[in-house]
Amino acid sequence: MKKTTVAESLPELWVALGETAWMVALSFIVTLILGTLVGVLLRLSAPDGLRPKAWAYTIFGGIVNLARSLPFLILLIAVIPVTRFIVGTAYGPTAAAVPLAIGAIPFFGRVVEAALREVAPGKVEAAQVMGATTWQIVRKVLLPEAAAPLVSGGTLTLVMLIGYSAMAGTIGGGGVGDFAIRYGYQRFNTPVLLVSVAVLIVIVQAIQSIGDLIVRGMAHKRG
Amino acid sequence: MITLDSVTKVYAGKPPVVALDDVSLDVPAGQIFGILGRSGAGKTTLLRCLNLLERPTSGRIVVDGVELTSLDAASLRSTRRRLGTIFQHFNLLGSRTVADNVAFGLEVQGASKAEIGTRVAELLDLVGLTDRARAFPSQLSGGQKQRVGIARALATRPQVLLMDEATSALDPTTTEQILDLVRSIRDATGITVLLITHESDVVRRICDAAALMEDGRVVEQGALLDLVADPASRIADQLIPLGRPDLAGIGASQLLSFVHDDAAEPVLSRLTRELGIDVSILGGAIQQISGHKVGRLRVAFSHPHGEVDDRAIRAYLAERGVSVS
Repeated sequence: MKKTTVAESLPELWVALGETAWMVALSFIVTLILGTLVGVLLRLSAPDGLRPKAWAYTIFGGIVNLARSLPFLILLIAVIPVTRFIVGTAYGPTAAAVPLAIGAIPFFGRVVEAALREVAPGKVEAAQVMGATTWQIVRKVLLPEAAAPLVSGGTLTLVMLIGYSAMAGTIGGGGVGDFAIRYGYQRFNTPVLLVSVAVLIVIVQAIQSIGDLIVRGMAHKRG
Repeated sequence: MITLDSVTKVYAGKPPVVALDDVSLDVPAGQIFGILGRSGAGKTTLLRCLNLLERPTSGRIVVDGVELTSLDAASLRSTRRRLGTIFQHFNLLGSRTVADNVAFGLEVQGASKAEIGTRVAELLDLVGLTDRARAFPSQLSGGQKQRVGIARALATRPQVLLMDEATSALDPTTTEQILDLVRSIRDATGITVLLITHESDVVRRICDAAALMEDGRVVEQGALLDLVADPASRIADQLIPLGRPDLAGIGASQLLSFVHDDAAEPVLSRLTRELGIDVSILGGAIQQISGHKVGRLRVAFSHPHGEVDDRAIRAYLAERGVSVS
Protein backbone atom coordinates (compact mmCIF):
# COMPACT_ATOMS: atom_id res chain seq x y z
CA MET A 1 0.00 0.00 0.00
CA LYS A 2 1.32 3.42 -0.98
CA LYS A 3 1.72 5.85 1.89
CA THR A 4 -0.33 9.03 1.81
CA THR A 5 1.87 12.07 1.19
CA VAL A 6 1.66 15.12 3.42
CA ALA A 7 -0.02 17.04 0.60
CA GLU A 8 -2.63 14.34 0.14
CA SER A 9 -3.41 14.28 3.84
CA LEU A 10 -3.92 18.05 4.08
CA PRO A 11 -7.69 18.16 3.39
CA GLU A 12 -8.25 15.63 6.13
CA LEU A 13 -5.92 17.58 8.44
CA TRP A 14 -8.08 20.70 7.97
CA VAL A 15 -11.17 18.73 8.90
CA ALA A 16 -9.36 17.36 11.96
CA LEU A 17 -8.29 20.85 12.95
CA GLY A 18 -11.86 22.03 12.69
CA GLU A 19 -13.00 19.17 14.93
CA THR A 20 -10.32 19.98 17.49
CA ALA A 21 -11.24 23.65 17.44
CA TRP A 22 -14.91 22.82 17.96
CA MET A 23 -14.52 20.37 20.84
CA VAL A 24 -11.91 22.51 22.57
CA ALA A 25 -13.85 25.76 22.14
CA LEU A 26 -17.10 24.20 23.33
CA SER A 27 -15.55 22.55 26.37
CA PHE A 28 -13.50 25.68 27.14
CA ILE A 29 -16.56 27.92 27.23
CA VAL A 30 -18.44 25.48 29.45
CA THR A 31 -15.34 25.15 31.66
CA LEU A 32 -14.97 28.91 32.00
CA ILE A 33 -18.57 29.33 33.11
CA LEU A 34 -18.92 26.32 35.40
CA GLY A 35 -15.31 26.39 36.61
CA THR A 36 -15.69 30.04 37.63
CA LEU A 37 -18.88 29.11 39.45
CA VAL A 38 -17.13 26.25 41.27
CA GLY A 39 -14.14 28.47 42.13
CA VAL A 40 -16.33 31.28 43.46
CA LEU A 41 -18.40 28.87 45.56
CA LEU A 42 -15.24 27.29 46.96
CA ARG A 43 -13.76 30.70 47.79
CA LEU A 44 -16.96 32.02 49.42
CA SER A 45 -17.55 28.93 51.53
CA ALA A 46 -13.90 28.61 52.62
CA PRO A 47 -13.22 29.14 56.36
CA ASP A 48 -11.81 32.62 55.61
CA GLY A 49 -14.36 33.35 52.88
CA LEU A 50 -17.28 35.76 52.81
CA ARG A 51 -19.84 33.05 53.60
CA PRO A 52 -17.88 30.43 55.52
CA LYS A 53 -19.66 27.08 55.47
CA ALA A 54 -17.48 24.22 56.58
CA TRP A 55 -19.77 21.44 55.27
CA ALA A 56 -20.19 23.01 51.83
CA TYR A 57 -16.48 23.64 51.48
CA THR A 58 -15.62 20.08 52.51
CA ILE A 59 -18.19 18.44 50.22
CA PHE A 60 -17.41 20.71 47.26
CA GLY A 61 -13.68 20.37 47.72
CA GLY A 62 -14.05 16.61 48.04
CA ILE A 63 -15.94 16.30 44.75
CA VAL A 64 -13.40 18.52 43.01
CA ASN A 65 -10.48 16.49 44.37
CA LEU A 66 -12.15 13.24 43.41
CA ALA A 67 -12.68 14.38 39.83
CA ARG A 68 -9.13 15.66 39.61
CA SER A 69 -7.59 12.45 40.88
CA LEU A 70 -9.19 10.32 38.15
CA PRO A 71 -6.85 9.76 35.19
CA PHE A 72 -8.42 11.49 32.19
CA LEU A 73 -8.55 8.27 30.15
CA ILE A 74 -10.65 6.60 32.87
CA LEU A 75 -12.90 9.64 33.14
CA LEU A 76 -13.31 9.61 29.38
CA ILE A 77 -14.82 6.12 29.46
CA ALA A 78 -16.61 6.51 32.77
CA VAL A 79 -18.70 9.48 31.61
CA ILE A 80 -19.89 7.88 28.36
CA PRO A 81 -23.44 7.40 29.79
CA VAL A 82 -23.49 11.08 30.82
CA THR A 83 -22.36 12.08 27.34
CA ARG A 84 -25.09 9.96 25.76
CA PHE A 85 -27.62 11.61 28.03
CA ILE A 86 -26.49 15.16 27.23
CA VAL A 87 -25.55 14.92 23.55
CA GLY A 88 -27.47 11.84 22.47
CA THR A 89 -24.35 10.03 21.21
CA ALA A 90 -20.89 9.23 22.54
CA TYR A 91 -19.17 9.78 19.19
CA GLY A 92 -17.94 12.88 17.42
CA PRO A 93 -16.39 16.15 18.51
CA THR A 94 -19.51 17.52 20.23
CA ALA A 95 -19.74 14.41 22.38
CA ALA A 96 -16.01 14.65 23.15
CA ALA A 97 -16.56 18.11 24.61
CA VAL A 98 -18.49 16.57 27.53
CA PRO A 99 -15.62 14.57 29.11
CA LEU A 100 -13.24 17.41 28.25
CA ALA A 101 -15.34 19.90 30.20
CA ILE A 102 -15.89 17.48 33.07
CA GLY A 103 -12.12 16.95 33.25
CA ALA A 104 -11.27 20.65 33.10
CA ILE A 105 -13.96 22.17 35.36
CA PRO A 106 -12.47 20.95 38.68
CA PHE A 107 -8.99 22.04 37.56
CA PHE A 108 -10.13 25.49 36.51
CA GLY A 109 -12.28 25.71 39.64
CA ARG A 110 -9.17 25.36 41.81
CA VAL A 111 -7.36 27.89 39.61
CA VAL A 112 -10.19 30.38 40.18
CA GLU A 113 -10.26 29.67 43.91
CA ALA A 114 -6.51 30.29 44.20
CA ALA A 115 -6.72 33.47 42.10
CA LEU A 116 -9.54 34.87 44.25
CA ARG A 117 -7.65 34.03 47.43
CA GLU A 118 -4.85 36.33 46.26
CA VAL A 119 -7.15 39.38 46.32
CA ALA A 120 -6.13 41.45 49.36
CA PRO A 121 -8.72 41.03 52.17
CA GLY A 122 -8.62 44.80 52.70
CA LYS A 123 -10.17 45.39 49.28
CA VAL A 124 -13.06 43.09 50.15
CA GLU A 125 -13.50 44.85 53.49
CA ALA A 126 -13.49 48.23 51.78
CA ALA A 127 -16.35 47.02 49.57
CA GLN A 128 -18.19 45.58 52.59
CA VAL A 129 -18.07 48.81 54.54
CA MET A 130 -19.44 50.61 51.46
CA GLY A 131 -22.49 48.38 51.73
CA ALA A 132 -21.79 45.96 48.86
CA THR A 133 -23.64 42.64 48.83
CA THR A 134 -21.74 39.36 48.50
CA TRP A 135 -22.74 39.08 44.84
CA GLN A 136 -21.59 42.67 44.17
CA ILE A 137 -18.26 41.90 45.84
CA VAL A 138 -17.79 38.82 43.64
CA ARG A 139 -18.66 40.72 40.46
CA LYS A 140 -17.04 44.09 41.16
CA VAL A 141 -14.11 43.22 43.41
CA LEU A 142 -13.01 39.57 43.48
CA LEU A 143 -13.23 38.69 39.77
CA PRO A 144 -11.90 41.99 38.32
CA GLU A 145 -9.08 42.20 40.89
CA ALA A 146 -8.05 38.63 40.09
CA ALA A 147 -8.25 39.17 36.33
CA ALA A 148 -4.54 38.62 35.61
CA PRO A 149 -4.19 35.26 37.42
CA LEU A 150 -7.57 34.23 35.97
CA VAL A 151 -6.33 34.85 32.42
CA SER A 152 -3.11 32.93 33.02
CA GLY A 153 -5.12 30.12 34.61
CA GLY A 154 -7.50 30.18 31.64
CA THR A 155 -4.57 29.90 29.23
CA LEU A 156 -3.23 26.95 31.20
CA THR A 157 -6.64 25.27 31.06
CA LEU A 158 -7.01 25.86 27.32
CA VAL A 159 -3.61 24.28 26.62
CA MET A 160 -4.53 21.38 28.87
CA LEU A 161 -7.80 20.94 26.97
CA ILE A 162 -5.91 20.69 23.66
CA GLY A 163 -3.75 17.97 25.18
CA TYR A 164 -6.81 16.13 26.52
CA SER A 165 -8.59 16.54 23.16
CA ALA A 166 -5.99 14.27 21.55
CA MET A 167 -6.97 11.55 24.02
CA ALA A 168 -10.66 12.17 23.57
CA GLY A 169 -10.10 11.93 19.83
CA THR A 170 -8.82 8.38 20.00
CA ILE A 171 -12.05 7.07 21.49
CA GLY A 172 -14.16 8.56 18.74
CA GLY A 173 -13.92 12.30 19.12
CA GLY A 174 -11.93 13.02 15.97
CA GLY A 175 -9.59 16.00 15.78
CA VAL A 176 -5.87 16.47 15.26
CA GLY A 177 -4.83 13.99 17.94
CA ASP A 178 -6.94 11.27 16.36
CA PHE A 179 -5.58 12.21 12.93
CA ALA A 180 -1.98 12.00 14.12
CA ILE A 181 -2.50 8.61 15.68
CA ARG A 182 -4.35 7.16 12.67
CA TYR A 183 -1.87 8.37 10.09
CA GLY A 184 1.36 8.77 11.89
CA TYR A 185 1.25 5.94 14.38
CA GLN A 186 -1.00 3.24 13.02
CA ARG A 187 0.22 3.62 9.41
CA PHE A 188 3.85 4.45 10.29
CA ASN A 189 3.57 7.62 8.22
CA THR A 190 6.23 9.72 9.97
CA PRO A 191 6.02 12.85 7.76
CA VAL A 192 2.28 13.23 8.37
CA LEU A 193 2.79 12.56 12.08
CA LEU A 194 5.42 15.29 12.23
CA VAL A 195 3.22 17.78 10.41
CA SER A 196 0.30 17.20 12.75
CA VAL A 197 2.59 17.47 15.78
CA ALA A 198 4.03 20.72 14.35
CA VAL A 199 0.51 22.09 13.92
CA LEU A 200 -0.29 21.31 17.57
CA ILE A 201 2.95 22.95 18.72
CA VAL A 202 2.17 26.11 16.75
CA ILE A 203 -1.37 26.28 18.15
CA VAL A 204 -0.24 25.79 21.76
CA GLN A 205 2.55 28.35 21.36
CA ALA A 206 0.14 30.86 19.87
CA ILE A 207 -2.39 30.41 22.68
CA GLN A 208 0.29 30.73 25.37
CA SER A 209 1.73 33.87 23.75
CA ILE A 210 -1.67 35.52 23.43
CA GLY A 211 -2.46 34.67 27.04
CA ASP A 212 0.85 36.09 28.24
CA LEU A 213 0.30 39.20 26.16
CA ILE A 214 -3.10 39.83 27.74
CA VAL A 215 -1.69 39.33 31.25
CA ARG A 216 1.21 41.66 30.52
CA GLY A 217 -1.19 44.26 29.14
CA MET A 218 -3.13 44.20 32.42
CA ALA A 219 0.02 44.39 34.50
CA HIS A 220 1.21 47.35 32.48
CA LYS A 221 -2.00 49.24 33.09
CA ARG A 222 -2.54 48.28 36.69
CA GLY A 223 0.98 47.64 37.92
CA MET B 1 -23.23 60.98 67.05
CA ILE B 2 -21.31 57.84 68.07
CA THR B 3 -21.93 56.15 71.40
CA LEU B 4 -20.26 53.01 72.64
CA ASP B 5 -21.77 51.53 75.74
CA SER B 6 -19.74 48.88 77.59
CA VAL B 7 -18.51 47.28 74.38
CA THR B 8 -16.57 44.09 74.91
CA LYS B 9 -14.99 41.90 72.28
CA VAL B 10 -13.52 38.54 73.17
CA TYR B 11 -11.85 36.28 70.62
CA ALA B 12 -12.35 32.63 71.42
CA GLY B 13 -9.20 30.60 71.89
CA LYS B 14 -6.98 29.20 74.56
CA PRO B 15 -6.73 31.42 76.43
CA PRO B 16 -9.48 33.75 75.08
CA VAL B 17 -8.18 37.14 74.00
CA VAL B 18 -10.01 40.16 75.35
CA ALA B 19 -9.51 42.77 72.61
CA LEU B 20 -12.01 45.28 73.99
CA ASP B 21 -12.74 45.39 77.68
CA ASP B 22 -15.86 47.35 78.66
CA VAL B 23 -15.24 50.31 76.37
CA SER B 24 -17.57 53.29 76.61
CA LEU B 25 -17.11 56.35 74.44
CA ASP B 26 -19.15 59.30 73.37
CA VAL B 27 -18.28 61.25 70.24
CA PRO B 28 -20.38 64.41 69.72
CA ALA B 29 -21.48 65.34 66.19
CA GLY B 30 -19.03 67.38 64.16
CA GLN B 31 -16.01 66.51 66.29
CA ILE B 32 -12.73 65.03 65.24
CA PHE B 33 -12.10 62.38 67.84
CA GLY B 34 -8.78 60.56 68.08
CA ILE B 35 -8.15 57.21 69.67
CA LEU B 36 -4.53 56.98 70.64
CA GLY B 37 -2.76 53.80 71.61
CA ARG B 38 0.05 51.45 70.83
CA SER B 39 -0.43 48.52 68.50
CA GLY B 40 -2.30 45.77 70.27
CA ALA B 41 -4.19 48.21 72.45
CA GLY B 42 -7.49 47.36 70.75
CA LYS B 43 -7.91 50.43 68.52
CA THR B 44 -8.31 48.44 65.33
CA THR B 45 -10.84 46.08 66.91
CA LEU B 46 -12.79 49.10 68.11
CA LEU B 47 -12.93 50.53 64.59
CA ARG B 48 -13.86 47.16 63.10
CA CYS B 49 -16.72 46.93 65.58
CA LEU B 50 -17.88 50.38 64.50
CA ASN B 51 -18.19 49.49 60.83
CA LEU B 52 -19.33 46.02 61.89
CA LEU B 53 -16.59 44.06 60.24
CA GLU B 54 -16.56 42.49 63.70
CA ARG B 55 -19.51 42.00 66.01
CA PRO B 56 -18.92 42.96 69.62
CA THR B 57 -19.36 40.15 72.13
CA SER B 58 -21.48 42.41 74.31
CA GLY B 59 -22.40 46.06 74.65
CA ARG B 60 -24.18 48.56 72.42
CA ILE B 61 -22.94 50.73 69.57
CA VAL B 62 -25.22 53.54 68.48
CA VAL B 63 -24.41 55.70 65.46
CA ASP B 64 -26.72 58.60 64.69
CA GLY B 65 -29.52 57.03 66.71
CA VAL B 66 -29.25 53.62 65.02
CA GLU B 67 -28.15 50.71 67.14
CA LEU B 68 -25.72 48.83 64.90
CA THR B 69 -25.54 45.71 66.99
CA SER B 70 -29.18 44.79 66.40
CA LEU B 71 -29.34 45.20 62.59
CA ASP B 72 -30.15 42.47 60.09
CA ALA B 73 -27.98 42.07 56.98
CA ALA B 74 -29.96 44.38 54.67
CA SER B 75 -30.31 47.29 57.09
CA LEU B 76 -26.70 46.77 58.09
CA ARG B 77 -25.70 47.43 54.46
CA SER B 78 -27.77 50.59 54.21
CA THR B 79 -26.49 51.81 57.58
CA ARG B 80 -22.91 51.18 56.52
CA ARG B 81 -23.41 53.71 53.75
CA ARG B 82 -23.77 56.36 56.44
CA LEU B 83 -20.26 55.55 57.63
CA GLY B 84 -17.27 56.21 55.39
CA THR B 85 -14.01 54.41 56.12
CA ILE B 86 -10.50 55.17 54.95
CA PHE B 87 -7.72 52.67 55.44
CA GLN B 88 -4.01 52.67 56.22
CA HIS B 89 -3.26 50.71 53.05
CA PHE B 90 -5.85 52.58 50.99
CA ASN B 91 -7.50 49.35 49.71
CA LEU B 92 -8.28 50.86 46.31
CA LEU B 93 -9.32 48.54 43.50
CA GLY B 94 -6.42 48.17 41.06
CA SER B 95 -8.73 47.15 38.23
CA ARG B 96 -10.61 50.45 38.35
CA THR B 97 -9.64 53.99 37.47
CA VAL B 98 -9.59 56.71 40.10
CA ALA B 99 -13.04 57.88 39.01
CA ASP B 100 -14.47 54.34 39.08
CA ASN B 101 -12.99 53.73 42.52
CA VAL B 102 -14.75 56.84 43.82
CA ALA B 103 -17.95 55.67 42.12
CA PHE B 104 -17.96 52.27 43.86
CA GLY B 105 -20.15 53.13 46.83
CA LEU B 106 -22.69 54.88 44.61
CA GLU B 107 -22.69 51.99 42.16
CA VAL B 108 -23.49 49.38 44.81
CA GLN B 109 -26.39 51.42 46.12
CA GLY B 110 -27.77 51.66 42.59
CA ALA B 111 -27.29 55.35 41.76
CA SER B 112 -27.89 56.41 38.15
CA LYS B 113 -24.98 56.99 35.74
CA ALA B 114 -25.67 60.73 35.60
CA GLU B 115 -25.86 61.00 39.37
CA ILE B 116 -22.58 59.10 39.73
CA GLY B 117 -20.85 61.27 37.14
CA THR B 118 -21.79 64.52 38.87
CA ARG B 119 -20.93 63.32 42.36
CA VAL B 120 -17.57 61.81 41.30
CA ALA B 121 -16.53 65.02 39.52
CA GLU B 122 -17.49 67.00 42.64
CA LEU B 123 -15.44 64.73 44.91
CA LEU B 124 -12.37 64.63 42.67
CA ASP B 125 -12.46 68.40 42.67
CA LEU B 126 -12.71 68.40 46.47
CA VAL B 127 -9.60 66.25 46.88
CA GLY B 128 -7.74 67.94 44.01
CA LEU B 129 -7.46 64.95 41.67
CA THR B 130 -9.65 66.03 38.75
CA ASP B 131 -6.76 65.64 36.32
CA ARG B 132 -6.07 62.05 37.49
CA ALA B 133 -9.62 60.76 37.03
CA ARG B 134 -8.59 58.31 34.27
CA ALA B 135 -5.43 57.11 36.05
CA PHE B 136 -5.14 53.73 37.78
CA PRO B 137 -4.20 53.53 41.48
CA SER B 138 -0.79 52.04 40.61
CA GLN B 139 0.08 55.29 38.86
CA LEU B 140 -0.53 57.42 41.97
CA SER B 141 1.65 58.43 44.93
CA GLY B 142 0.68 57.37 48.46
CA GLY B 143 -0.83 60.77 49.24
CA GLN B 144 -2.86 60.73 46.03
CA LYS B 145 -4.09 57.21 46.80
CA GLN B 146 -5.33 58.36 50.20
CA ARG B 147 -7.08 61.32 48.54
CA VAL B 148 -8.91 58.81 46.36
CA GLY B 149 -9.69 56.85 49.53
CA ILE B 150 -11.19 59.97 51.11
CA ALA B 151 -13.23 60.81 48.00
CA ARG B 152 -14.49 57.23 47.84
CA ALA B 153 -15.47 57.22 51.52
CA LEU B 154 -17.40 60.49 51.15
CA ALA B 155 -19.25 59.50 47.96
CA THR B 156 -22.43 58.38 49.71
CA ARG B 157 -22.49 61.50 51.92
CA PRO B 158 -21.88 59.67 55.22
CA GLN B 159 -22.41 61.40 58.56
CA VAL B 160 -19.37 59.71 60.03
CA LEU B 161 -15.86 59.25 58.68
CA LEU B 162 -13.75 56.49 60.24
CA MET B 163 -9.99 56.68 59.71
CA ASP B 164 -7.97 53.53 60.34
CA GLU B 165 -4.36 54.68 60.77
CA ALA B 166 -5.02 56.58 57.57
CA THR B 167 -1.73 58.46 57.54
CA SER B 168 0.59 55.85 59.02
CA ALA B 169 1.89 54.80 55.58
CA LEU B 170 2.56 58.39 54.49
CA ASP B 171 5.53 60.70 54.92
CA PRO B 172 5.21 63.65 57.37
CA THR B 173 4.48 66.34 54.76
CA THR B 174 1.85 64.23 53.01
CA THR B 175 0.38 63.32 56.41
CA GLU B 176 -0.10 67.01 57.20
CA GLN B 177 -1.77 67.63 53.83
CA ILE B 178 -4.16 64.73 54.29
CA LEU B 179 -5.02 65.78 57.86
CA ASP B 180 -5.62 69.37 56.79
CA LEU B 181 -7.87 68.11 54.01
CA VAL B 182 -9.89 66.05 56.51
CA ARG B 183 -10.24 69.05 58.79
CA SER B 184 -11.37 71.33 55.98
CA ILE B 185 -13.95 68.72 54.93
CA ARG B 186 -15.20 68.55 58.52
CA ASP B 187 -15.38 72.34 58.70
CA ALA B 188 -17.33 72.46 55.43
CA THR B 189 -19.72 69.54 55.99
CA GLY B 190 -19.91 69.06 59.75
CA ILE B 191 -19.07 65.36 59.37
CA THR B 192 -18.06 63.53 62.54
CA VAL B 193 -14.60 61.99 62.32
CA LEU B 194 -13.29 59.14 64.43
CA LEU B 195 -9.68 58.24 63.83
CA ILE B 196 -7.35 55.72 65.38
CA THR B 197 -3.63 56.30 65.40
CA HIS B 198 -0.45 55.57 67.26
CA GLU B 199 1.01 58.94 66.26
CA SER B 200 0.50 61.77 68.75
CA ASP B 201 1.24 64.24 65.91
CA VAL B 202 -2.05 63.29 64.26
CA VAL B 203 -4.04 63.95 67.43
CA ARG B 204 -2.19 67.20 68.05
CA ARG B 205 -2.84 68.44 64.53
CA ILE B 206 -6.56 67.84 64.01
CA CYS B 207 -8.35 66.32 66.99
CA ASP B 208 -10.85 68.14 69.21
CA ALA B 209 -11.05 65.29 71.66
CA ALA B 210 -9.15 62.08 72.28
CA ALA B 211 -9.13 58.82 74.16
CA LEU B 212 -6.17 56.73 75.19
CA MET B 213 -6.45 52.96 74.89
CA GLU B 214 -4.37 50.39 76.68
CA ASP B 215 -4.90 46.63 76.86
CA GLY B 216 -8.39 46.91 75.39
CA ARG B 217 -9.52 49.60 77.81
CA VAL B 218 -10.07 53.31 77.46
CA VAL B 219 -7.89 54.69 80.23
CA GLU B 220 -8.50 58.37 79.59
CA GLN B 221 -10.78 60.46 77.41
CA GLY B 222 -11.90 64.03 77.04
CA ALA B 223 -11.65 67.27 75.11
CA LEU B 224 -8.06 67.91 74.14
CA LEU B 225 -7.81 71.28 75.88
CA ASP B 226 -9.18 69.83 79.12
CA LEU B 227 -6.74 66.97 78.93
CA VAL B 228 -3.67 69.12 78.38
CA ALA B 229 -4.78 71.43 81.21
CA ASP B 230 -4.53 68.45 83.53
CA PRO B 231 -0.90 67.97 84.57
CA ALA B 232 -1.59 64.35 85.47
CA SER B 233 -3.04 63.48 82.06
CA ARG B 234 -1.21 60.74 80.17
CA ILE B 235 -2.56 61.94 76.86
CA ALA B 236 -1.08 65.37 77.64
CA ASP B 237 2.20 63.66 78.37
CA GLN B 238 2.13 62.06 74.90
CA LEU B 239 1.07 65.24 73.13
CA ILE B 240 3.57 67.49 74.91
CA PRO B 241 6.31 65.21 76.18
CA LEU B 242 8.80 66.65 78.65
CA GLY B 243 11.26 63.81 78.63
CA ARG B 244 12.30 62.08 81.84
CA PRO B 245 14.74 64.35 83.68
CA ASP B 246 16.91 62.89 86.40
CA LEU B 247 15.12 64.24 89.46
CA ALA B 248 17.38 62.77 92.10
CA GLY B 249 18.63 65.37 94.56
CA ILE B 250 16.27 68.06 93.41
CA GLY B 251 13.47 67.20 95.76
CA ALA B 252 9.84 67.74 94.93
CA SER B 253 9.08 68.85 91.41
CA GLN B 254 5.81 69.98 89.97
CA LEU B 255 4.19 69.96 86.58
CA LEU B 256 2.54 73.15 85.39
CA SER B 257 0.13 73.34 82.45
CA PHE B 258 -0.55 76.59 80.65
CA VAL B 259 -3.55 76.35 78.41
CA HIS B 260 -4.72 79.89 77.94
CA ASP B 261 -3.48 82.01 75.14
CA ASP B 262 -1.60 84.12 77.64
CA ALA B 263 0.80 81.19 78.07
CA ALA B 264 3.41 83.63 76.93
CA GLU B 265 2.67 85.95 79.85
CA PRO B 266 5.55 86.03 82.35
CA VAL B 267 3.58 84.28 85.12
CA LEU B 268 6.57 82.51 86.62
CA SER B 269 8.81 85.49 86.75
CA ARG B 270 6.12 87.47 88.58
CA LEU B 271 5.51 84.56 90.91
CA THR B 272 9.11 84.48 92.02
CA ARG B 273 9.14 88.21 92.56
CA GLU B 274 5.86 88.47 94.42
CA LEU B 275 6.21 85.35 96.60
CA GLY B 276 9.94 85.65 97.02
CA ILE B 277 10.76 82.08 95.98
CA ASP B 278 13.15 80.50 93.50
CA VAL B 279 12.10 78.36 90.54
CA SER B 280 14.26 75.77 88.81
CA ILE B 281 13.01 74.78 85.38
CA LEU B 282 13.61 71.06 84.77
CA GLY B 283 11.88 70.70 81.43
CA GLY B 284 9.31 72.35 79.28
CA ALA B 285 7.63 72.49 75.91
CA ILE B 286 5.03 74.54 74.10
CA GLN B 287 2.80 73.08 71.39
CA GLN B 288 -0.01 74.28 69.22
CA ILE B 289 -3.04 72.14 70.10
CA SER B 290 -6.54 72.61 68.66
CA GLY B 291 -5.40 76.06 67.57
CA HIS B 292 -4.27 77.05 71.06
CA LYS B 293 -0.81 77.51 72.43
CA VAL B 294 -0.33 75.03 75.23
CA GLY B 295 2.70 74.79 77.48
CA ARG B 296 3.85 72.25 80.04
CA LEU B 297 6.63 72.95 82.44
CA ARG B 298 8.33 70.81 85.07
CA VAL B 299 9.67 72.99 87.86
CA ALA B 300 10.97 72.77 91.40
CA PHE B 301 10.23 75.56 93.87
CA SER B 302 12.55 76.49 96.68
CA HIS B 303 12.72 79.28 99.25
CA PRO B 304 16.01 81.14 99.88
CA HIS B 305 15.55 81.19 103.69
CA GLY B 306 12.76 78.88 104.68
CA GLU B 307 9.82 76.74 103.77
CA VAL B 308 8.00 76.92 100.48
CA ASP B 309 4.36 77.84 100.98
CA ASP B 310 2.84 75.33 98.60
CA ARG B 311 -0.71 76.53 99.14
CA ALA B 312 0.17 80.10 98.27
CA ILE B 313 1.91 79.03 95.07
CA ARG B 314 -1.04 76.92 93.99
CA ALA B 315 -3.49 79.69 94.70
CA TYR B 316 -1.35 82.20 92.83
CA LEU B 317 -1.02 79.98 89.75
CA ALA B 318 -4.65 78.80 89.75
CA GLU B 319 -5.78 82.42 89.74
CA ARG B 320 -3.83 82.89 86.52
CA GLY B 321 -5.20 79.77 84.84
CA VAL B 322 -2.19 77.54 85.39
CA SER B 323 -2.83 74.04 86.71
CA VAL B 324 -0.38 72.43 89.08
CA SER B 325 0.10 68.73 89.64
